[in-house]
Amino acid sequence: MNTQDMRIPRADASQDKSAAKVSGKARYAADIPANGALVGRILRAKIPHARIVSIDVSQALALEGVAAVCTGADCPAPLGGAATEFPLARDKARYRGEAVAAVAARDEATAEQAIRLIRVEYEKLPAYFDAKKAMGEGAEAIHADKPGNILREAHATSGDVEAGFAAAELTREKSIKFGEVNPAQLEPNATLVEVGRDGGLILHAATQAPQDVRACVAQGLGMDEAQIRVENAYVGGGFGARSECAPFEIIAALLARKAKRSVRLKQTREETFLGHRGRPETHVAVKLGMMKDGRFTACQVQTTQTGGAYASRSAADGAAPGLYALHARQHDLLRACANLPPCGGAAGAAESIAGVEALINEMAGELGLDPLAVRALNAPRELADCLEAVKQASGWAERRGQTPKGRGLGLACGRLTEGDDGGVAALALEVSVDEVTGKATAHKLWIAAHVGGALDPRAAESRIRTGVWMGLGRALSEETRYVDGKMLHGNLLDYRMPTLVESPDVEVVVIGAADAAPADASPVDPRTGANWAAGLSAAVMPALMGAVHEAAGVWPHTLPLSPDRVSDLLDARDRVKK
Amino acid sequence: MKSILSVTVNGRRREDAIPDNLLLIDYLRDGLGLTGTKQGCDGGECGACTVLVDDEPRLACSTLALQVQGRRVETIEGLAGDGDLTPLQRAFQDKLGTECGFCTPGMILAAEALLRRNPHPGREEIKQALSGNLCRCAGHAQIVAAVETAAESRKNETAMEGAR
Ligand code: FES
Ligand code: FES
Repeated sequence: MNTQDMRIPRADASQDKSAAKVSGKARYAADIPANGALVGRILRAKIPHARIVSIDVSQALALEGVAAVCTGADCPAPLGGAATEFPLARDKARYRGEAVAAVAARDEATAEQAIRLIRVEYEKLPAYFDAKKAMGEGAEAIHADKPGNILREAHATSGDVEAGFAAAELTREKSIKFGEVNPAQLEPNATLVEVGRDGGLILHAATQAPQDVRACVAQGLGMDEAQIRVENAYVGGGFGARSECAPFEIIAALLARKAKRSVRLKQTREETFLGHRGRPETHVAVKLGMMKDGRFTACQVQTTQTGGAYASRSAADGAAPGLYALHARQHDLLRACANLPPCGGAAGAAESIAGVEALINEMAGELGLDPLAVRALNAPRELADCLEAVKQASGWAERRGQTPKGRGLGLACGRLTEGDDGGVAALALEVSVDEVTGKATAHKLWIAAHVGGALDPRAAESRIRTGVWMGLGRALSEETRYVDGKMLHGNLLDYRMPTLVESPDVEVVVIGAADAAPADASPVDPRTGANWAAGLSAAVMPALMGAVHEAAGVWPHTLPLSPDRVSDLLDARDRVKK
Repeated sequence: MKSILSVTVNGRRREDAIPDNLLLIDYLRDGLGLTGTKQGCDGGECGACTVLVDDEPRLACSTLALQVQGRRVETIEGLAGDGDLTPLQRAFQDKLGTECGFCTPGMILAAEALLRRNPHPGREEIKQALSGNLCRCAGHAQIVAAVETAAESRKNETAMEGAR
């Protein structure tokens, strides 16, 4: 930063940035002009799990117009010190789509042709696409240092869980499957690497972690960090995909250094999906003990994630903080690795909360209690305030049980971020279910969030809306799909995120915001650097499940609640009735 | 094969010899340096590349440059020209309708087309008109509010002009 920049107050700087965004002047990585830059392209593995026997690049290199070809041999340093992930696969390819080689050529057509001329000999290995099979008896280890294909394990217990369940008047269990979700940031991955006269590199990168990119590129290329500069003036979203250096940034740098020329590496939407680092498919098994008046006595959560072949280095720890003043708790987390694109570091805290919230709704129903009152009975002060605010805003008392046929009202709570520190929220959601098509439609959502001070209320509200918006996507339509590890969702039509038409009216009550820097529309909480989407999705999903139950009389167990899933539930319901 | 394209871009007439298979988005971005038009997908999925062709929204990624022969093309850069931001652009800024900003040019142009066609759209019309434009960050409310605010300020401007 030069001295001139430092004189601009923060609010003005963010005004300048938003002015650039609305006028088209904001330059994202793919917008930086680069006359004469070479075009980079990546060759990706077509087999989900294989030993790489040999790679022959001679024909590609001989092609006129090809300036550089790189393979794993060019980069022996693992990505950011991770144990086994390399920018370009070395001994093994562990998922379909993993980068195996890369070329830089004078134009797109030449680069494409060169990619096709690279010969890779693979030796196929058994591949696993769900946690159970990956962890099964005798399964081939995806990573030599991870026997049993367990990537991570965490266990946390507090209080006397056994005694808690023994004291309970009602104990119930429920299993829920949450689909894998992709960050789907709107800006496709892109990097431009310029080579300075002194051999230094300038990366224009679509990253939210310029320091990490700098460190990882330096490490990957065996260069001094002082020789590397990373620019990221504008970044088109991240949501976990860009919070650390991704392999392609190092690949682009490797190509540029080898070719001694600038290289532009743009990725397709499909490749951007492959970069992933989103939330893995997660199974949550919950057991909850309750007294007849709704007081909780004990809670047990077992979370199993089907992680990708690799995980983000910035992994969250495993202990999922509960929402309620409940002492007897046990939480076990298991993350398996599978032959799928790399997942983010989330430890399933949001899914764990969502599972508990869903079961609370079911048990309150069974006991004939108001789910809002049950929560208020167990909630610490801040959450109780949120519940009261949602009760008022939504007219909960009058509306509940009074919605017209085919409509329902659901409720749930969540945290703003996944850790202990970010505030809590309660929300109510009105939904209709189309009995013919199985389509669930969200009509209105009321949310009250205790944001925990030091935040501009307007920015907080904006962040809440963003979180709710993403939560609805996850609840209703977003989900990745693979067949034998082949991605089926690699475009923005098959990966269905919500559009404006599907977005309900959202009423936001912000509690406890005070004294903060002027509003900027950054989707992340300046205090934690996290967005609120994961945390709020934990509330949106069970609220939707509760609303669907009131509307159609079925309790869902698999998310997202796409029309085919709802139809299946309705069919099962009707079979029982007959 | 190359052909001559005559087209008006952001108010300026131009003639360029271009390959027949050149896409409008590449003509604008690589040929003219108008990088405000964004590419968010592999074709026709996201709306980030929306430009105006004779006042109508068009996906530049799914249009051949030669298809706009003799037509009037407007990109985000042309909306305000060298002058101040338009009320619509300002409304996106004020109502926090832009976060990461990547969808913003396409979103604004889709909204601009709506407001030219229908200066006083209802909320549902706004949502419909923008439903082909994906935004991953901003909640819909901020975007809809921005368009409503812009429509309102256009109304006031016209009222003032009428009073003069
Ligand atoms: S770039 Fe996505 S629709 Fe044109
Ligand atoms: S502001 Fe980021 S995609 Fe719309």
